[in-house]
Amino acid sequence: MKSSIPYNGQRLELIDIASANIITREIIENYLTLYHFHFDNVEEKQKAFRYLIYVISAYKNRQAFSVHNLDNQQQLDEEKIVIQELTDALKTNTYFLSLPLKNQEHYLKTKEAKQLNWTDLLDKSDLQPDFFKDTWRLLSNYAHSEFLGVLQIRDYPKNPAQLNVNAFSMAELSAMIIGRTIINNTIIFPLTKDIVDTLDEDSDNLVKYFSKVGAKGST
Amino acid sequence: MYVRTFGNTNVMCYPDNTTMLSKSYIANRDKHPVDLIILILDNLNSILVKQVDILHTENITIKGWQHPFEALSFKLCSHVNFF
Repeated sequence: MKSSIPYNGQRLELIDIASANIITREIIENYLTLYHFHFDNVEEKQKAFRYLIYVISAYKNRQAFSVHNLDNQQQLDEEKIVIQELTDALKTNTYFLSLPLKNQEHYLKTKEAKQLNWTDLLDKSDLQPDFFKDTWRLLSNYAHSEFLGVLQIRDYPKNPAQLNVNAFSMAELSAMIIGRTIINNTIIFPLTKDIVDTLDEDSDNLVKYFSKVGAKGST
Repeated sequence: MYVRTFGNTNVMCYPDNTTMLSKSYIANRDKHPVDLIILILDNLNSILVKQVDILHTENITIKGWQHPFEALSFKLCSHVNFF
């Protein structure tokens, strides 16, 4: 997490808080995506619907890639057929058919890859909103340079102690996410419970602690 | 308890043969020990990797779901490894 930048003919050592912030946002969104596909306790037909729109979106996005040779073109042509097959499957998915027609058309016409936006996913997920909601918003602003004014980051380099606290907080949030992921894995994939059941005392404490602190309703 | 150095940080550890990261973390959290939380992340990440690995290596079929689960888990572990 530490990096050095050229400054006055020397190397200035500092905590790479810019990367820590960007990566922590990615870690939160990555967990929310895992939650959307796997951990969220919805019926199988809805899980299948979510998976279908995810895969169709991926293939649709690939259609926009530049073609550089005949192989590329052949692959894209083959994937057009796959898109059609997956779309046909989507049209017979009972959860999809239960949606209002306007929503059905939306999923057929767009490249929407998930059913809920990040804010709704944060609300619905099992993450502790007191820790994650505002942080995710701030980190999103940080990731988009045009919104950087929302944060007061000008003094960061002048205050190493604050940099340290910020970096520690980002790492703590990441530990909570990993803890939640490990515990949720044991629920949906029972085989992974064996790994947790055989942990040494210290590792077991860490998993339980960070999973609990990061969970909704923990404070 | 005794003091042990993690990177540039001195943390309080318990007098047994294993260093208890969990107890050191609780005892030192108010000092924001970055080096210690990085060690904790590494420990947690290794557990997650084992979980994903056992699903993969033992050829457990997750009907229709294997790809996003493994891809997302790999991405998550890689990001956490940054710290």
